[in-house]
Amino acid sequence: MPYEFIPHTADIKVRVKAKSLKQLFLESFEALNSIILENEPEKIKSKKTKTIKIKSPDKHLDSLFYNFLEEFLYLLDAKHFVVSEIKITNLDMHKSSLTAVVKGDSSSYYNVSNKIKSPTYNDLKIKRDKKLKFWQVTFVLDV
Amino acid sequence: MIENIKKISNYEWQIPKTNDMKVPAKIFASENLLKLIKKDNTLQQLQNVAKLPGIIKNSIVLPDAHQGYGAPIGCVAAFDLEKGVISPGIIGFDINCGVRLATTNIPVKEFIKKQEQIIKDIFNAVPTGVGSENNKISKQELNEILVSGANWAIKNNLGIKEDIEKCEEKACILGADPKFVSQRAIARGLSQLGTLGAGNHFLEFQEINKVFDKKTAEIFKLNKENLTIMIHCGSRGLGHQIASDYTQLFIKENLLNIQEKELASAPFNSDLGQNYFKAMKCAVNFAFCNRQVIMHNIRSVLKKHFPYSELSLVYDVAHNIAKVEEHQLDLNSIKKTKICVHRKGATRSFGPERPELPEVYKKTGQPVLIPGSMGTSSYVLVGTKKAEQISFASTAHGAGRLESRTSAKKRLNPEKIKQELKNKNILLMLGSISGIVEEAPEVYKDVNEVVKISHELGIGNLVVKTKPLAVIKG
Repeated sequence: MPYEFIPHTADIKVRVKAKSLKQLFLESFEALNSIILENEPEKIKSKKTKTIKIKSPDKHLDSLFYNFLEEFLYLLDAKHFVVSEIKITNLDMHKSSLTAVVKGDSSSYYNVSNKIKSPTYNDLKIKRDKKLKFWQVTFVLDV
Repeated sequence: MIENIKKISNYEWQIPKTNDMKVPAKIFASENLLKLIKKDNTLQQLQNVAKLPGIIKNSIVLPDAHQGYGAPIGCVAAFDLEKGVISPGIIGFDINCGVRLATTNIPVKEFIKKQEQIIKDIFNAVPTGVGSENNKISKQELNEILVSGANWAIKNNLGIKEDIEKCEEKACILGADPKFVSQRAIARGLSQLGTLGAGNHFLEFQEINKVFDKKTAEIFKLNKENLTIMIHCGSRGLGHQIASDYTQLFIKENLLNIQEKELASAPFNSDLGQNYFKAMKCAVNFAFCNRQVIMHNIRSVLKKHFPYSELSLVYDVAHNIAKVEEHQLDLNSIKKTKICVHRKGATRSFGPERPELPEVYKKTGQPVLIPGSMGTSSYVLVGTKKAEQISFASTAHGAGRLESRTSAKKRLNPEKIKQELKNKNILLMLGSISGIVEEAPEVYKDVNEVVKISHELGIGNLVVKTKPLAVIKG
């Protein structure tokens, strides 16, 4: 599994490894989505399409990552939207911006969990192993 | 690993001021609980809090403390209004996550006879999930709630006037201004009024099984014969988004040059600090109103099953909040100073005579509500003068987590836990299957020990113990 849950007293801590930064964001989304969908045996249908645009307020990669994860909690709470598929169409590290096309369905048809309160900056570390050529992130979700 | 912990008394420990700490750090715990607290990052986080500008006396953790985000959970920190800060990391994402306790005139025996159907009806009346379009209120209504708290509910026949009297801040903290709340936060709140949410939030139907302080229990109207109801939840997505928005703003502006992003702060008296304070108060009011609406929906269901039934509030307390309060900083002087007290996973514990308390509790001190973990006891304590002297009028807020969700999932068997609760005659309804292992009593500290320390220290004294009859979890 490209993402793994690691022990944390109160919250959910995740470690993700990936070959590219884009892949790192995608796998991290998968980890988050697995928590949202844990009560849901049915596959989410791809009925609607949305484009999401994420920016980082302080131009740092970790803030971009934080905002990326938060977007899915916003979509769930405010738009009642659960995601089935995601495609990152643009990820600019220097401009700290990300655009993605997401497909999914209304959350009211599924038994989804809203236990994640927020992503956090607690232990949030994104780094690239230059020798082994992979990206790694650890992050904590407040539940 | 923190080595230099000094023992002050059996339940009081101190990490002396070192390097960049502005004040020492204080730990209220037994030797046993201190051992558990040392296992994770709690004490490092407590020391980080002690480094913030304008902190007064000491940063504090309570017996139920565990590692959190920024500050630990179970943390109290007070700041000077001029030189100090306000920090979302010492309040928490779930602003005004809190507890309310209500008493009824329904005999426990009568409740047990019908409880399966009642719990089903309440489970349907109080959504635990994401919320839906059908549940939406208008933006104008939400704005009104953010300013007026549970008063909005009373105005709209979702409660009675007496409900308001027995709430911290009378269920409406003054100075909330929706102008400082983002549209994203508003959008997340529109369909979540009256919803419980998931995680550790719950509704519990309880029986009082032990009375420690008969006189105070009488004043709190707590008796062994009748059903009591505990509601634990907060400000939902609206509060989470406000905390997140301002954490990010504080990081971006970084007015205080704080390196730890999770402890991002702003000077309390800066525009930015005040904007957050006004937005935070909106979430506080939303949470008060949320618990009010939930209580009203429970009241309506009970009325159907017991037409004679009446439900009255004992108290409603916030566990995650920052407030300006008057405290006597020098115990040799009667002078009181206004300071900003942050409580994150801590309960206010005002003793007698505080002007903030409702008339009926001015003689006793405020009720302090301490929920246990799923299927274990909860407690009602009473606030004390001693708490005002040593812990900025604060005590514990619950059992405090001990074990990670990941390892609980690996180790515990949901069917076994269900059976154990059944053996104890506790009825359980769950919004999610994972909740049963993640919130199992085994993954929490022993609430009995937590309240014992509070009582021995005199920062919250025992009044009654309750045991659960039925639990609804998100």
